[in-house]
Amino acid sequence: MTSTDMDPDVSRAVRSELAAIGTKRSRLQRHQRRARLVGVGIGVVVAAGLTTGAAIVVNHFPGSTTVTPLGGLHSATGTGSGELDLGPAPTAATRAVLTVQCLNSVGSISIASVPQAKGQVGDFATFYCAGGGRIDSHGAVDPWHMKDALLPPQGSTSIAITADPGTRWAISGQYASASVTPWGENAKGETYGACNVDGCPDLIGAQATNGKIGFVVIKQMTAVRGSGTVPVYQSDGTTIIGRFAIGDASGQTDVDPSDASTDPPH
Amino acid sequence: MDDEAELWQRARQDDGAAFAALFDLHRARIYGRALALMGSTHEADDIAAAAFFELWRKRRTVPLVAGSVGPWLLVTTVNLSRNARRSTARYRALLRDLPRPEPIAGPHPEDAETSQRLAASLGRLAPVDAALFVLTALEGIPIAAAAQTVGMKPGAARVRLHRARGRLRTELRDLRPRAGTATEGSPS
Repeated sequence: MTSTDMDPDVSRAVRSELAAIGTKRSRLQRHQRRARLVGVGIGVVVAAGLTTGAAIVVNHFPGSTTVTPLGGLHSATGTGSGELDLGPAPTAATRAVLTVQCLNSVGSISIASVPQAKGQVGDFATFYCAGGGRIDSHGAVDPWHMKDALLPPQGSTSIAITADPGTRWAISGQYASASVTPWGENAKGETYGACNVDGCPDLIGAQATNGKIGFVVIKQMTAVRGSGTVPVYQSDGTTIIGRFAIGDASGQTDVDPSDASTDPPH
Repeated sequence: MDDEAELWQRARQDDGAAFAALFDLHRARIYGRALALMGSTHEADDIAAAAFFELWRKRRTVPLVAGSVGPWLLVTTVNLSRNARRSTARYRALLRDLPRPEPIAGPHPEDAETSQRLAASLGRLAPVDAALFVLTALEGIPIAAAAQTVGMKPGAARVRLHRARGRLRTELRDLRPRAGTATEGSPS
């Protein structure tokens, strides 16, 4: 055999990423936090939706979060870390909405976001420009829309943009307020609707493979390993109206890389 | 190995230094396995890196087998290599930023073919069967430990392994003369 050890430079890069775990430099952790944000708190549901095309519907359910922009739009461009000045905040503002665009294919951009749940500290959303950023089907760089940016800190009117030294970006944004409707409650006392800052209800809005809109039970979702389906109920939590597919239902199983070792059959 | 069990306890609590130490401990073996399965140094880099990133992501559920995370890492390496592009997608941004050295001299052409054929055959087995085969036949891990790693009883694992071996023997019959040298890797 020829070399059976990793190239020293590659090894150093991977080791350094692992050594950064537990620190603010950890891209692994920032990456996971971003995934959680996008996943409205239930990664498994969204992952299932992404792999099957069956959409988890988060709008128009009880408990949905509505974000309303306030005041004027401001923009800035920069290279490396910088800031976006939004001017004085309206009293009703609780967050900011931003449009983030990479102008080159270097590094990543991180922006503080509002806490996902009450009592938690905020996270960072990280946008990766390396490799061309988010490119749409026509090859154009697609901007990201961030609806949960943290307000500027007390005494400041600017949002900090943390970017790698060579990363060029253009960001526009404005203040916003957010409101949440209450979850519904069925005859069995189960809550239903969309996940929000208060957490997730017992039954989460989802679209079945037959196109019908209903609700899935979180506990049933998380019990599925690899691929499979769970029932989609009406809001009564009893009447089944379809199935929600997790993983790839066509037989091309989207295997979790460690399933075989971490999930002994029960 | 008590030292590794202690390292793992620290790693599970997001101790970066402990993860780095586990990487030092298992890198060569995991990379060697990834290279034997993928046959390309770049892909092996990605698979090995992703296996360690998975170790962090799954830190709450990874089992220690015989006091080590090594068997779990090997199984994850096998599973990641089954569909490298899709399985490493989660870490696309991180992997893109890895240095890309010029590929070093690849394996002997016949070894490369053996690697590819074996990887393709393993890909057609059920994931748990492929994992059992690699752990026992290629990595020399006792069947009881291999069974524990994939969450099976030893008896059931033996049956599955027997079937998997039979299938691989049939599929790779024409490669037998060189199969040993190419698939053993050389874990340090």
